[in-house]
Amino acid sequence: MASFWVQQGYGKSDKIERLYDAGLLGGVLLSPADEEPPALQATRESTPDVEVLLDPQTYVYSIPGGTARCHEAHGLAVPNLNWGMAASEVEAVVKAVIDANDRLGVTNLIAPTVVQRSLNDVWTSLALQMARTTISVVGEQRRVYVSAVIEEPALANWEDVANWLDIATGLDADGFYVVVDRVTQSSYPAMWNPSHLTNLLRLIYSLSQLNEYEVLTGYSDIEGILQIAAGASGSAAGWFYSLRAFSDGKWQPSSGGRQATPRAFSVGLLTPLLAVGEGEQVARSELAEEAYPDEDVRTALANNPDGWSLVTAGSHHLGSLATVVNDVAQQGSIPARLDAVEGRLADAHGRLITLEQQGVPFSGAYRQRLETFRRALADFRALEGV
Amino acid sequence: MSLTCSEIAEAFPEYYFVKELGDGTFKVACLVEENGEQKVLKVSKASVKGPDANLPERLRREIEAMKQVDCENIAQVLDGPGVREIGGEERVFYIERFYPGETLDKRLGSPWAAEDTSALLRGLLTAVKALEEAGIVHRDIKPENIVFDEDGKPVLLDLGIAYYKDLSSITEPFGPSPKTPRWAAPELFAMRSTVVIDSRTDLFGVGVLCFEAATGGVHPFNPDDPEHYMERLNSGKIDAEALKDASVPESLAGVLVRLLQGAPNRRFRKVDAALKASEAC
Repeated sequence: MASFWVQQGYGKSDKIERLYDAGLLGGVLLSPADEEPPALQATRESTPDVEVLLDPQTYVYSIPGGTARCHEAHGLAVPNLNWGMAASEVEAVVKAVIDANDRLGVTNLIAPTVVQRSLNDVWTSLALQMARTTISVVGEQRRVYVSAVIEEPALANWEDVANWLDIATGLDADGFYVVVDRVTQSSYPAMWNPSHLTNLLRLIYSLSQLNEYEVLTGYSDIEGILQIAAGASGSAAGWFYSLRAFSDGKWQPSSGGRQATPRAFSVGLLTPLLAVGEGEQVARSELAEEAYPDEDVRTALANNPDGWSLVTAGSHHLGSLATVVNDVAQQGSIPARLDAVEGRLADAHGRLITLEQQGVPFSGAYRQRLETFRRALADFRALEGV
Repeated sequence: MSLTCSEIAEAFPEYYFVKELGDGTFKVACLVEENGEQKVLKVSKASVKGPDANLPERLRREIEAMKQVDCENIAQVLDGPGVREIGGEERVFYIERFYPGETLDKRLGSPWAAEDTSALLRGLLTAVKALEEAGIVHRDIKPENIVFDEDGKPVLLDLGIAYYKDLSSITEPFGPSPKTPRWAAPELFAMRSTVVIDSRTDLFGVGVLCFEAATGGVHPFNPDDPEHYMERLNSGKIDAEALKDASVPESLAGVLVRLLQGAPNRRFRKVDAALKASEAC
């Protein structure tokens, strides 16, 4: 069973079906904010053998100026969402989520939630109330995943996280859907504060291993392999950068930015390199096969990097990431998964240094990012004794 | 509030009075006999007004809970509650089944065999599971509240300070929970309104008792040294040497360590999971 999930958004073309046909897909997280019901229904029907869940995305309305283009069509618009909502209002939101799932033929539910700015403010109690109400209304007939959409700075203090866990682990749910709002990040790939990432891994470990919930992480990317190693059963990423790192900006009106520069994800470097320049030089280097094991990809990048389109980049990224995520998950035990990820990170880090020494002009952020991952993982292992 | 055994014996001529079993803060317990069957008669020290008076809420909840929970590891209420004039005042009484084994505190002198500790663990977890299913947290699992039946099975007594998840609280939310400190989980020391009290709180108490049984009375966190006691309790730093000294098998020690974690989220989430783990010990 694959552990890689797709975080669906608009403009999916055939990306999901290709992963599904390749046996790389563990599940799909539908995005009702981005697509009308017929499109989501079609996605669900095109992937009959994997779990499909609807992220209700009610958290959009807890983001200042947050809007969701297609929510009205799903009956999921909650413009009056506020932390003082009455129990009856919360129940109405939950029932709207159940109805939206029913219309799409989705059996198991992700509970609605809000973005939690910290783990002990007024929004936290509303998030818990939404979770409890969903569990209560749904009963035992369908599996319920509690949503936890948490701003990254809320992960700064482990004591706060642990106190939240004491409450959250009292919920009689089947799983958790965990998303980190990378509120301070704007560039791709987003950097992590290592202690925040350590605490996120500990949160996942506590939920999945100590408390036996199924844990799905959403809007993830390469850090998804760390999350799988820490105990998550699924990690989701999408084809756009905004589907690989959650940020408030995705939900706020904008005049549109400049088009993204195509990147080519290197499995051997665990880094999304710029196709033109970085990817091109690596594909011609002596480490080309380790960085890009697929010969067609090496050839394309080495000979025609300008032809590496955003569509190609998106599909290639998902396929490559899925391969790594699924491979880590198949290692079995948590220590074995962690060993595998540490090995991959060490290898990737060593290759980056070698390539830098050979004159490939990488952004310094790539190496720093891998070092952050390694440090977070080492701290996590030490603190949890795994 | 004073109440003597002779006053109780006089008020219940239908029973043969055998002996006093205990004289607590709120109740007196007497061993009585009826038609050759031994029972425990418990009488509340507080008086109530008139035979139709409302029972004190805490006592009403305790008796209702014991009647509601059907588990051989929880003391069984046979009759009551009733109100009768005892010692010149109207008082509440009820009858419990008598369990002939002594209380656990009398058996903690030397380390128990691993299979006996495991049996105690499973019995207490079965009791806590039954309470969990009824939405009740005992909050006072301690050696004096454990007796043994004819077959040597542990039986949990006294729901006097239990917490009922579906009922309004009758304790002050801005103060700590009622408890017996030596066997209390760390969250019972914190302000009620800031912590979660659920079955995991009772798992901690079970962990302390079974640790004491396994080690011959050694407390996992050494409350006799009050300096840094709360720190040890919150961090779950147990006296691991005591487990080694008593040659407690690894599988049993592993379960005890998990039960004794300071943060509830690091214990077993459900009593059933603890019970399953204990079955492998």
